[in-house]
Amino acid sequence: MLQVKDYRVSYGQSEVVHGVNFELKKNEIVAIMGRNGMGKTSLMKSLVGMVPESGGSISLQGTDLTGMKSFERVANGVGFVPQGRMIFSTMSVLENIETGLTSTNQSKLPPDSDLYELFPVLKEMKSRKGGNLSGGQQQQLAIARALASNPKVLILDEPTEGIQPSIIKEMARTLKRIRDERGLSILVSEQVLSFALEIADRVLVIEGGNIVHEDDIANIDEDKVASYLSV
Amino acid sequence: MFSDYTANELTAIFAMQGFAGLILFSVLVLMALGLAIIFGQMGVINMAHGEFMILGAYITYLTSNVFAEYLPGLFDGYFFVAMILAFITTFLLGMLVEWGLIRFLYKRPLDTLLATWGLSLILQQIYRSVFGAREVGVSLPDWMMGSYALTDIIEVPINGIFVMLLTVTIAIGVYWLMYRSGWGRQVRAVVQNRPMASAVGINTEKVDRVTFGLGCGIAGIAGSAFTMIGSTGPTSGQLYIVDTFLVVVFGGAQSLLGTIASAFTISQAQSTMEFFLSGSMAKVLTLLFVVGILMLRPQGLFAMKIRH
Repeated sequence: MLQVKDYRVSYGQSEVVHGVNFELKKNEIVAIMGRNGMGKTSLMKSLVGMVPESGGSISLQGTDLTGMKSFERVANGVGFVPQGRMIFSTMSVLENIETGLTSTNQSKLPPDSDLYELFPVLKEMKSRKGGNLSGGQQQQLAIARALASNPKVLILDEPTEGIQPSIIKEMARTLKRIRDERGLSILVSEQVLSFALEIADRVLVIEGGNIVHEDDIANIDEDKVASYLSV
Repeated sequence: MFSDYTANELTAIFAMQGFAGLILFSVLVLMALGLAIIFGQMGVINMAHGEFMILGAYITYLTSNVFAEYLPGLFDGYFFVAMILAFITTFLLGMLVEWGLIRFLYKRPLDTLLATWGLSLILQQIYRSVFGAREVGVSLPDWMMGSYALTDIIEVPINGIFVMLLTVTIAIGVYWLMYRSGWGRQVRAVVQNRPMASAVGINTEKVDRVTFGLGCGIAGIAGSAFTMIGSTGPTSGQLYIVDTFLVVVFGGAQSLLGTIASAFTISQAQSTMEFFLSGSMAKVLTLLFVVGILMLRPQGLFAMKIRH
């Protein structure tokens, strides 16, 4: 479904992601693991077009996304939840979600939207300013905003960062539910192994800008993956 | 300084100066709304804003001449046509300027300052070459002339009332556009976080272009209103740009309500003091007051309170 070939990301002259190849199948959840500074965020940002790729190609269901700007990639089915959530803090919760509707040519979120069912807390707080929400609530808002554009692939960059453990568990359940109900594929970058083991069907390990290890969750060598994550 | 007047006269003076202040307020608000959208929302300091206003004024002047020449029967309504034409012309010129000039300079704010200043000089010279250096005035239709006598000594001009109503309508329209419409939501998202706005599906370049055009378009309408209270010359716009920046900064750059409140304060203070003191003394006092407030509240009168 999502095909990434020989994908490269550079800042100026220095290349930080060196030609990675992977594929995401329909209804699959793939976790990209790796320590800080290994190129996870650069790769994720680049997949959604926030950082232009410097080589290689990306295509989604046969549509070539290479060279497209972010909003064009979103219109073609990429949803993005960035590291640090980056919600629009001076805008209300409802307005935040509605920014995600832009590429669908709708303007108003229907009051019976299934997004509220996934995240009931957002319905309660829909007139609050996004900046006044707690970290966990902001994370839910960022996911709802990305889902509003009806993506085929949801890309999440370190969704567990700065979130308390009880909410992390709940988030894992929600993400699986989203995958099952909406039939989309999820690509998530992660440092927390337990979270990745809980949701992912497959794990990729990135180190120094290369994918160095790949395992199906069924026969994963936990110790080996953990050794890549330890400092 | 008040002792030369009777209490009755003083009331009349305050009422009429207050009203004159309201007309100044209207033009300042219209100018500042456009500037606040461009500066507050996009961070671009548009030094050519006054020239966009004057373009609107010249369009109004041309329209009034065309109506007087070819459609004298419809002269009473020319102003509304002029306003729409002024908006369209300045809106399109604004989009053209954004496309040809501003979009290359978003990361270089000081260069925008210089570039738009250069643009203002170019526009001034174009006006001078096309319309001549002498100021032109428009003739108002009959129904806008004259004044309405509130009491024996208090009179308010009808065109002033009209300008104020116009301003209120446009201010409400802009508020609705920015805070209630889907387009305004996109603008505010782009302002907060440009890369993220794009990553939720917003075409940020298009939003920038229309926003800049809209700010200029409102300046064009301000120009239409301006023809009723002053005569139009190539450099008339420059006189207003400093006051307008003062209004925007004093009000808090991202708050439309603040812009209106600060335009009201500044124009009323200015207008009332001008009657009793000299014009420049009034300006000095206004500026001192604004500087004092800004030292205490650098974010301006109205600023949003949120966690970051």
